[in-house]
Amino acid sequence: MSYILDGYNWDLTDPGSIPNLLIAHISITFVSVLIGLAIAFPLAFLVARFKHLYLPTVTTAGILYTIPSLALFALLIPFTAFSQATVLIPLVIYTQVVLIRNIVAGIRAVDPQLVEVGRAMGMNSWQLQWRVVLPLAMPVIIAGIRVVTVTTIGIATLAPWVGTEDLGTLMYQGFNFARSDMEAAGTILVIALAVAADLLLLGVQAALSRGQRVNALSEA
Amino acid sequence: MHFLKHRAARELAASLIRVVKEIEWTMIAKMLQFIGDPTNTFWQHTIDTLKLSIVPIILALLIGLSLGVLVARRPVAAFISANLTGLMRAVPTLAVLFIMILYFNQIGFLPSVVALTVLGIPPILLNTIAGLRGVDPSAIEAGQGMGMTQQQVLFRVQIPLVLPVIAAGVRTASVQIIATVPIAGLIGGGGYGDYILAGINLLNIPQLLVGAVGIALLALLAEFALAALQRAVTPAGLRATEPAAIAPSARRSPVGSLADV
Amino acid sequence: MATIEFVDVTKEYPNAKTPAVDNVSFTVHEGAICMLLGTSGSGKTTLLRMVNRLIDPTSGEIRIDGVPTTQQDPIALRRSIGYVIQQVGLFPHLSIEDNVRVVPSILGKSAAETRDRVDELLHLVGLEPAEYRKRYPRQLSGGQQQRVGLARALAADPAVLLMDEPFGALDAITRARLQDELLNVQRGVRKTILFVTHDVEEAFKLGDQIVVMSEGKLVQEGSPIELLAQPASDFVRQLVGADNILRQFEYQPVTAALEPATDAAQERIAADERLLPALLRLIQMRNGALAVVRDGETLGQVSLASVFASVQSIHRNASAASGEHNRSADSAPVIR
Repeated sequence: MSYILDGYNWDLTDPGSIPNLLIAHISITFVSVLIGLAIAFPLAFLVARFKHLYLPTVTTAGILYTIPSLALFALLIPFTAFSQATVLIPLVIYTQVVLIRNIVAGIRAVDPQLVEVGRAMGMNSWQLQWRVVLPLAMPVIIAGIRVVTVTTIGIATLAPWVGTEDLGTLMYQGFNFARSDMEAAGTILVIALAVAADLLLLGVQAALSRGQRVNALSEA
Repeated sequence: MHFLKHRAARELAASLIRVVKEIEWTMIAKMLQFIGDPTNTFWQHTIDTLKLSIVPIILALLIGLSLGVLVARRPVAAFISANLTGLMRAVPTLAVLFIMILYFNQIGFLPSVVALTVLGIPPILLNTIAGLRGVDPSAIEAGQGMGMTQQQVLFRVQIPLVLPVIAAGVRTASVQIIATVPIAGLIGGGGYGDYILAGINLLNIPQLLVGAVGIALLALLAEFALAALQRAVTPAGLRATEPAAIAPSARRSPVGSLADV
Repeated sequence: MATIEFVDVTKEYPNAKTPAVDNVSFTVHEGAICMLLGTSGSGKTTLLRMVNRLIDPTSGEIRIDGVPTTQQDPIALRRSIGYVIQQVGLFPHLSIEDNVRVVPSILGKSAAETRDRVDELLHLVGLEPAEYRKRYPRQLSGGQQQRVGLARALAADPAVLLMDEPFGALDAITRARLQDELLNVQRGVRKTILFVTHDVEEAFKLGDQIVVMSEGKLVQEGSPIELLAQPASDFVRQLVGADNILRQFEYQPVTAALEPATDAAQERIAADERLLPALLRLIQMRNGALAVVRDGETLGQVSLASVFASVQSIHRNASAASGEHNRSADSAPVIR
């Protein structure tokens, strides 16, 4: 704990200080999940509509997910060297299988009767997606985002080994210089961040599920 | 004009392919050369990697399974262990490795194996609990009603229904463990992770790639083999047509792994 | 208000042997409740769903106030037609208020603009706005949910209301209450209502007009009385229970048994009353007659003899249509 409590390590002007590493870790996670969502949403809506594309897409994403993170980082080094891309590309790739699967499952779980009712009330296809399908699919989608965010925070701790600084840096340097106080600080901080993100998104999930228990029609 | 354009494009494509192929072949040749060089102790690294994978998988299976059987019929214990292990999944794998280094105050095989085992337990434990609790009591009753003995109910009803769920857990755990093996290598665990670490530090691309490709192949192999095993133990009537999604209430669905394909 | 005309409407599905709807023509007049009555698979729901173009007919057309629906943009058309289904289909993620407001809101109206309208509609369907506005559908009973469903369908003040077995999933008491409520609401709003049901009692209770469907074909179309008095086929006779003498009394107006007024008339009865209460009164009076009055003017009278005569004539019609006589024998003692 001594490393975390030492005021010296909270100096904002030092790029290696705890707050700066924390910010770096959060921003890597945030950017990865955001890009992941930007890719997964259109893909998921596509494969939800064209059902025969679902299995190939999810299988591909699943195989990519199976490749160990360090191996994927290493495989990218010949192409992207020690740039941030080496970290971001695998992180984005790993988000896909969970995001696509959960978005599709969320969409599919929406009761077709409700979509039909929306149609009968004169919603155009954009309004149907935006006002009916998306809100009803949201709890399942958020559950996916939650898993992905926590996973990304975890994998991002490897970033320092391929040249990008974040909370993993404390562990990396601690290990290399045999500084167990730094190792402990990094370990504690990264667990705290992961658990905080998990709980935060759990809260969002609970708030969004308000009013709906399941995505089905309420029984008459 | 059109013809020229066409031909120019074709020539450009051909030359591009040639260049890529050349780089590829030299790289593959260099990787093979690396593997063939006895000073790199490729086989030792392979054996270390397999040991680092298989020992934790077996340990996790033993611990997860027995814990699961122990708590499954005790609702409070099951609730607590399910939630604790669920919470544990939020802990980054590297953090688990570092906790073990700090705990054992040493690096190498022991903390790595313990960390990997700890990582492998949750999916097996959760799926064992889910599988045992999920057996429809009416199925057991139906078996008894047909005049099956206790043993027949166990072997003909319970095990066939539970086995696929546990197999799914083993598959998730195994893929997770193998994915973490090279990370253990970063902190002195040995195996292919060594190659990746040294490759990065020395910027020795062939070495780096031998480690990365090796571990990737191992992970994919394990995934496919265990997926096949899971299918084999799943009665035809229970086979899902498509993988289940993650329920809003659970971190991961109890059945099926994230890498479920 | 609107008139709906069905002109040779046919719907065929590629893999079906027979058309789902086969050459159906009839007209629903402004402000009428038209009941589409039939068994499941009779094509009544398909017919209903063609009105707001959830399904398009294979041939023929549906005209609303003379304009073929196929000439209208389906989205705009649907926004101008209320729709209520058995499963209610309230959006579980929206509050009651927001559910009622869906159509105005997709038409671009803000919450503030529609607030009074929502309150007015909730009042209309018998739900206290202050209590229910902010609730969610799952916090309501089935009957309450269907009231909200009705309010939602009425939100944009559509001229036409389509109802697909809206009360089918409710218990008998709630169903009866909501049927009364619908009649009550209809007195105020005078919509042209197309109402799908397989429940004959419901059809007779609510319908100004009943369209009997079977295997995609229109079997008979007319008022409840017409169906009872002159069933077009054995199918309709059995369906509406034309041979059931009590049902006849329940739905036939007293004017069906009218005879010239005499001095025997001791009491008066309104011309829109049914035969059943008249008969019960006559039995209580142990004879005599009731003067039938409309707007203070005496049209004639009914007596046990005239009621008996009218029933006999109904039965003659019914028997002539089916060549069946055996059931009148056990009905006769009831009226003697």
